[in-house]
Amino acid sequence: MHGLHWYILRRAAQLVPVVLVVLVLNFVIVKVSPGDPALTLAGYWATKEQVETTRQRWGLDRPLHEQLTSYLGNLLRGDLGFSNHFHRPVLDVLMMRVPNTLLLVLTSMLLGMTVGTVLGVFAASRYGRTTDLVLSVTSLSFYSIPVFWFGLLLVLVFALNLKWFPFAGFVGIGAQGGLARAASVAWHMVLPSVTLMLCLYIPVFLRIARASVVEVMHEDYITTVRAAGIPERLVFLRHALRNAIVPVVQMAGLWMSHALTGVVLTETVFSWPGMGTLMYNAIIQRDYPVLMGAFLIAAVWVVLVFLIADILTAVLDPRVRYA
Amino acid sequence: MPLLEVRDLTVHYRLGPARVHAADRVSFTLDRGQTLGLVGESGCGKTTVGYALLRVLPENGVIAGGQVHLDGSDLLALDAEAMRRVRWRRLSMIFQGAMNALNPVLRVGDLLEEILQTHEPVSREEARARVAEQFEQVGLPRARTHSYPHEMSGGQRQRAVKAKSHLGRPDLIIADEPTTAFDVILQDQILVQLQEIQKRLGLALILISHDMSVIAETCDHVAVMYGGRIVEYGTVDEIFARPRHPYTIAMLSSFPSLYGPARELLALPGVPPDLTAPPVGCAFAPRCPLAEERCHAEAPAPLTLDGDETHWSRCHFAREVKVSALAREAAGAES
Repeated sequence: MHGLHWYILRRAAQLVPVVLVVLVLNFVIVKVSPGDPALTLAGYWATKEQVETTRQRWGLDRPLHEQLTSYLGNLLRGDLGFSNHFHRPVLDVLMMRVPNTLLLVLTSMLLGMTVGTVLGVFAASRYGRTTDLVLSVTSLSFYSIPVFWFGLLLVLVFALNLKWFPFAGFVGIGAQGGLARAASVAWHMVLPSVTLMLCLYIPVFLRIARASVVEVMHEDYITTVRAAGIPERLVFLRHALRNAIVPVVQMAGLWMSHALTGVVLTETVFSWPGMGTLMYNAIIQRDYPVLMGAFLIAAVWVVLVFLIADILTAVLDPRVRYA
Repeated sequence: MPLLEVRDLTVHYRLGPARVHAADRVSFTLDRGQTLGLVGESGCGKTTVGYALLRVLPENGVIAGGQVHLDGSDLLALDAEAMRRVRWRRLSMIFQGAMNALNPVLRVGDLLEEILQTHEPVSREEARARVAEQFEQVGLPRARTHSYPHEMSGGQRQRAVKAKSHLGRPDLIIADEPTTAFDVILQDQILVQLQEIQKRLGLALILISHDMSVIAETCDHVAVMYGGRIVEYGTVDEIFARPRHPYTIAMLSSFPSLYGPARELLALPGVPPDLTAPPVGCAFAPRCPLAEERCHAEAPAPLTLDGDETHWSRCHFAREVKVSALAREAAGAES
């Protein structure tokens, strides 16, 4: 079989044990966390008998391994539990929030990644000159700014003072109908998105792309093709970039894996109704089923993203296929 | 007219505010079919000369002066596009460290086809056939064209690099330490193969090496470099039988000889000069057993040597008895 196909199959098969371990860990974490779920479910004013009835009704008196089996069984049927806070199945709650987070994070990341990588490659092509220095120092400065502080600063200047953008939320109340709604969402997304791009994605990808290109341009094989009379443009585009992009893809996978849970601060600052605010509130309100569901979705996301990043790396770099 | 004529080639590396004088007024000529050995210890400027001839110096390298005539045309005066067409086609270089000389993400055959198609208007099929043929000539199976560099052994990669150079049928190949990092058996194979190809194609070869035994085996002429300058030049016989520069003598006595009496190997004490501030006088004077006051003050001009056709040495005392005595002493030092 072709080396690449074989690698993808092997790599995908590794997912099964990883997901199983994640599920069990997820279950254990909630079991060992403080507080009695039966007490929470029955309510603060419930009598001892009522608490016991609740415990039996939800099966919380059964041995741990039975609880785990029924948890896994429910998961297989797509049942992630019920949220008392939202009075809805956990899956419904998550499905409302996941797209909001992905919209914000993927848009910012794809834009930031592209801009950052292009700037990084450009800086590398001006290696050691003023442009390179300015880009490097600027990106490092932005990267050092705390995300929530920069977010608040943007709110203060562009939302409260200049009133160019809304200061929080997801969509305006008056925005009805597809197009108006989409425009309103985009409008609300500008400030959180700019925050994420400037403080995270652009600096990160600028620096990794620059470092990677600079390193590759000093490799012997680059001198070899240059000395073989390959035009300089092709030396850079065909021989250097293909090698230099490998660490960028790996870094993209790493950041993409944080997509669902990595922007809690930004979402909180801008009251963006995504996974970050959901998890934040679930912790405050001890909404354990939602928290477990969020962990589960986040874990599965991480595993899938790493799979895709690894496959991309293997496509780009044949050496990985045999690892 | 010689194939290659290098006159007063001077190369600097910018290093912050400082300049490293890596090659200083280097001159030599090379005829078709001939082999020149460029020898010296690390940092003496041998590789820099190779890079400068091809104009592929690192970005902080500057050719500060001189002329390089290849078959009549001045390479240093060519524009970038004309120079690009000279590379590989007429002047090819085998770089030190074949381990990393091939792009790791391309199949070796694809890389060679790309180079071939860059220079010649050949179809994909024709390019593929010629690459495969060249692989066989350097002793690699045709199937190896489909391999990635990491799938090949060090020796196979060295052959692939060689195939890349020969494919262009250049007039001149510069081989930078082609045998370093290989065991002696492989070293010998590499050298024999280089000489075969050279004879068949009638090409000229510049062999850069720190290894005197490699030079003795393969070269017609030898240029000994020290501190960015050629300090002694001559035929292989002249250099090995009658060295007339104390540095050459020191180099020769640090390598064992297969013939002649067993002798003690002598290590040369001290370190090469700091080329950001080259000495006013002879660069070798601080390490030279014969150095006098004059050597530190005045840079020696090349002195031709009577009786030898091409032989010259950049030593004030090259014609004096004390240098020949030093050579005899070094050659005869009993163990």
